[in-house]
Amino acid sequence: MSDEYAPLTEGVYYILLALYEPRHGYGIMQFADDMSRGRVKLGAGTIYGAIKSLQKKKWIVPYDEDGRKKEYIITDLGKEIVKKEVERLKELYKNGQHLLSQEE
Amino acid sequence: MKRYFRGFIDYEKEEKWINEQSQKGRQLKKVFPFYYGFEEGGSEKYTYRIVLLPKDRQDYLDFLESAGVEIVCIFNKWVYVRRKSTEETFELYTNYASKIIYYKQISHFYFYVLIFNLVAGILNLFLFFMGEGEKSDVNALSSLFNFFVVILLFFAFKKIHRKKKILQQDHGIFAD
Repeated sequence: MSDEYAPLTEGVYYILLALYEPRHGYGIMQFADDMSRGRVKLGAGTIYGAIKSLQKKKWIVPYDEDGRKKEYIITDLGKEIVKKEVERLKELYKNGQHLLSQEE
Repeated sequence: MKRYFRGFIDYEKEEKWINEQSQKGRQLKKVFPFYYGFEEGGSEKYTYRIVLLPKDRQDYLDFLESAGVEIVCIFNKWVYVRRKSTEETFELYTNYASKIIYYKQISHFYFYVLIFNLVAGILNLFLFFMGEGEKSDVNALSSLFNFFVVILLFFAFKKIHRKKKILQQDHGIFAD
């Protein structure tokens, strides 16, 4: 099901992780920044575009629309996508580790 | 309030100029055609960005605000935003895919305004040749202005188009 989407971009991956709890724009930015220890900086325009297409795919939905600061949350389908992506990353990681350990 | 009368076609040059003003302690407040109003004083320095608005503009503006971006003013299809300067650069588009889409929107915008001015320029030239007296002088001047804008837009368009192409080439090799 998810094969046609994989691999996710770093930005989309962190946005999906961030939305396991409801967050708005700034919250997503902070989350990606903190989790990656400052490596992944997501611009507001980039997040906006990603959120629009993730909503279309139904991987995320708006959460409690009060006021203008919209929050979003991940859907079950979105969680499914994340699981598959983590499996894919595990494979990449294992193979890389395996080769590196042989080198030593 | 410090006032400047200027016009820009290339938004990157405009952005650079506004940021230079901010470094000198003049903070942008208002933009009208050929007019820029700056507030003086205050020690805070800002990084300004000029952003082309997408179709769902209110949604986009609300989102920018929710992401800690300050909206300074809106002029036509462009929004002037800022954030306090830090060591981190302030960018709205941070990966290949979104930058490519953004540059595509800008090059389309330049293209439509260019075509509009080209048609207006030809029409004005035509009216100049058809008309007589002072009225047709106005047409001649308007026509000259239109063609001048067309040339500037052409270079601005080419610049953004090239940037987009370079990004697309890189994107093919190193996907995000």
